[in-house]
This record gives sequence, structure tokens and C-alpha cells, in this order.
Amino acid sequence: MMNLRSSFFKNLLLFGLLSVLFLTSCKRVVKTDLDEVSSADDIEEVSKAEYQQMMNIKVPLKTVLVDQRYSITIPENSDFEVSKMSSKEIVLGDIDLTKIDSSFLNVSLNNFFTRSEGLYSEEVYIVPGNDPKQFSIDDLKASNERIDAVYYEDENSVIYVQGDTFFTYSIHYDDMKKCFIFYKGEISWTQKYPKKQKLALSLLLVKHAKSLTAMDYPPVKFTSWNDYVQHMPVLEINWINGMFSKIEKELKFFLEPNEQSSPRTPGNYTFVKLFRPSPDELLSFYKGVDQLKANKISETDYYSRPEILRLDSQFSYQLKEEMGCYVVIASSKNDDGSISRKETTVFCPVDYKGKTFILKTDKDLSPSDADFFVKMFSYFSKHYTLNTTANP
Amino acid sequence: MYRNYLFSALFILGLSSCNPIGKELTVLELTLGEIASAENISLKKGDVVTIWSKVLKSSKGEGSTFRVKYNIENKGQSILFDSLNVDAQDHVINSKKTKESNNESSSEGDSTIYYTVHEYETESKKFTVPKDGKYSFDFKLTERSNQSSFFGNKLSIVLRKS
Repeated sequence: MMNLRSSFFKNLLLFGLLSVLFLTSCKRVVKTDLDEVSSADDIEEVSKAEYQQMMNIKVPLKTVLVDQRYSITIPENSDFEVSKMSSKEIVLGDIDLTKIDSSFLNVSLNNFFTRSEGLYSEEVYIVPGNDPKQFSIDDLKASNERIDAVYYEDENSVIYVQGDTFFTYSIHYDDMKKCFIFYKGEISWTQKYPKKQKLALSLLLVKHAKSLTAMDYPPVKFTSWNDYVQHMPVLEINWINGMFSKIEKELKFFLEPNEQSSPRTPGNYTFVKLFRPSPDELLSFYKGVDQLKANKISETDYYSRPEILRLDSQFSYQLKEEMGCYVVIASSKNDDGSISRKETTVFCPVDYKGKTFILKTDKDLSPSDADFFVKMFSYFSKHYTLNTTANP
Repeated sequence: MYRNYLFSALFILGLSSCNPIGKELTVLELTLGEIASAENISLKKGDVVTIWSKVLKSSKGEGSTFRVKYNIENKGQSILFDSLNVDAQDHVINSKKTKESNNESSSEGDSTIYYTVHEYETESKKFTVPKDGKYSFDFKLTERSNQSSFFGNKLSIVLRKS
């Protein structure tokens, strides 16, 4: 009887131990920040405070003449291309521009973020018309398609989303020129960013749209990278910071002597190169800078240099020094002496723990982009990061 | 008698429910010259993160040319920077070889080329977490020599925690 009882307790103990082993052997699931972010991405209508906050953002502007007739005001860092009528079908909500009985102008706005990466797009359409009531904001909301949410709407602007694509539309009527000015901003579903960031960017596009007809605006000049960051939408800041976190790691850990690195963007482009040049390459770079400063380039110097600063005899060069950076503008001339092309490149030496690196813009920039990169590179060369919260 | 069977069954179940190689945290596919990162991974002091190199080698390629440097950070401070031993053969798992073929045309006519693809995971490094916090793991793949070719090969990093 005693033996039976002792055997029963032994087995019970064993059973208990095995049960504990079985229950504790399963591992806890590790939850990362990514999971937390995705669940907190529900957004509602834009509040007045959010709208006002975005309208208070400073955007440097310039007024340009389109087709020698229409003046529009666009962000200073944008360039534009004009086409008369478009061969492709252009539908703005319920308005099919190709079916309107008058020719119209299509003005594509481009800046650093839209040009190759295509973070978003901005189009302006100038459509002649005598009746100011011919179109209204309601016509810009496609009635035969599903609109998932309208996040913002006023008398002449609207932001709505279809799937994950954000549309910003606005409509203005110019009494003097007797024309409609339509604005269409689009952030595609292919851009995988949190909805909140897409909406904030869409609000900035509303500001761009409302500025189109502005003729009187205060001059705005950013003096530092912090200044730029304070007036940029979060999506653009995060995009730049994401790329520069790789540049930062290359600088601090990975890049070896004579190596270079140009991290690929989410859209699989490159935009900045970091070099860790050999002493000879560095000497050659500064020799080139000195020659450009003195405007004395001999025939043998063309094509002879390593990749960092290679000079081409087809171009004439201009060099400017700003905040520790070099801005090189290369102009190619036609036979008649007129300038056919201008390419801007920004260089910035970075000294880190006794090692010299050189940052260089990888894409040919438009001259209006140069200041943005000068401020960015200059900040990085001092702080070895673009994280402005750590170095306000 | 039945009780003994029950205990045996429970014992096997208990063992099999353990994951002997640890819980998978993330998989990072490496691209030549690019830094791939796993960021903000919450870890506790004493956790062991094993870095596995998942290699796919084709017999059409020119042999092993992998070189991977890695950096582990906590609160923006690097706590370990080193090179990975992707050729370690001490602990290899999920190994499989498959025969594949493709057709090639030349002036002498069409021919079928047969080659072997070897896929496996090898344990390259064990990292013991020194204190509770969020950690980032960065990896950069470079070519070992200029003559070699990365063609036909693929390398990923698998992080597992135990």
C-alpha cells in the first residue's frame, strides 16, 4: 500500500515537472516597433490645428511665366515643363480635359523628391473658359469611382484617398485671364509610408495649390539645415534621414580606404556618394578645386582625374564656396555660344576621427537644388548625422 | 502501464515544442555594397542572438566570394563591429542541393547546361545581449577580391533568438 502511494506521488511529481517543461518551452513572440507603428496608423479628418500648422510652414516661392502669358507662383526649388494639350488622357475627377472644347496647358512641377524618386507628383492645368461656374470642387471628386475617405475639403481644395493613393485637387478661376487653374497632387499607393505622413504631405500640397495665384508673398530664405527640416513634411525628412543613416554608418564603420558608397533609395536610385579617397586622390581633388577657383585648367587635366572631380573639356566651369562645401556648375555651350545644359554638383569634405571623406551629390541637380544640399552636407560634416533632434 | 506511455508522450512533446535553433527575429537579404539593417529589436539581458548566414551557391558561379562586415548598436553606440565567418561549417542546417538546368544557344546549336544549387544556413556568430534595450544589427556585403564574381550566388542573414 505504501509502495503504491509512493509510486503514485513519484509519477505525479514527474507529471508536474514535464508539464512545467512543456508549458515553458514555448518562446515568447518578440514584438518590434514596426508592429506597433502599423497598428497606430488610423487617421481621421484633418483638424483645424493640423491644417493651420501646415499653412504656417514657410515655403520659398517664385513667380514664373508660362507660355509667355500666364503667371503662376511655385515653390522656389521646383522647375517646370510646359506642354500644350497632352496626348494622354487627362481626367481630373469627373472632368475629362481632353473632351473640353479648348486647348489647355499642362505644367509639370518637378523638384528633387519628384524628379527620379517620384515620391509624389504635381501637375497644373491652365484651361481657358468664360464661365467661372463651369467647374466646381465637386467636379473634382470622381462620382463613378469609390472614394475611401475625404480628409480635407474647403471651397476650392480637396484631399481624398482611393486605396492608398492620396489625391490633392484644387480649382481657381482667374478673372483677368479668363481661365481655370487646376492643381493635381498625387502620392501613389506604391509609396509605402504611413498614412499620417502621406496626409501631412498632401496638406503641404494644398498650400502649394493655394500659392499658385499668389502675387504678393514675403521672401523666405533658409539659413541652416535645421531651418529646412522645420519647414519640411515628415515624409521627406524621414526619407532623407533614412538614407543618411546609411551614409553615417558607412562613415563611422564600414567604408574602407579607397572605397566609395552610394546607398540605393527605396525607389532604387542613388543621390549621394561618400568617398574615402586615398591621399593621392584627395590631393588631386584639391588640385582640381584650386584650378577651378583660378579658372586655369590645362588640356592634360581633362579626364585625367579620379572619379570624384572629373573635368570634361566640353564644359565650362564655375565654382562657389559655401559653408564648407564646393558648388560646381558645369555649363555646356552650343556652337553659337548659347548655354545648352547646366549641371550642378555639390561637394563637401568631411573630417571624421582623423580620416577625410568627401560627400558628393550623385545626380545632376538643377541649380535651385544646390542650397538644399549645401545646408544638408554642411550639417553632416559637423555632426556626422542628419538627426537634428540630437543637435538642435 | 498507460501512465508510462503518457509520460513518454509528454516528454517527447515537451522536447519537440522547444525550438532548438531559437525563434526567428528577421531575415535580411544582402545586396552587394549596400548596408542592410534590422533596427529597434527589443532584447533582454542574457538573450542570445545567433547570426546565421543563409547561403545559396550555384555551381555555375565562381566559388565563395562573400565578405560580410557587421555592426551591432544600442542607443546609437556601436558595441560590436567585426567580420562574419560565412564559411563556418561547424553548425549547418536546412541544407539542400538541387539540380537545375537551362538552355543555351550558340553557333554550334542549342545545348542544356546542368548545374547544382546548394542552399544552406550556417551559424556565423553568437551574440549575448549585455543589457535590456533596443538593438540594431547592420550588415554589409562586399566582394572579397576584384577578380571574383558574385554571379549566381545569394546571401541572406537570419537572426534567431534563444
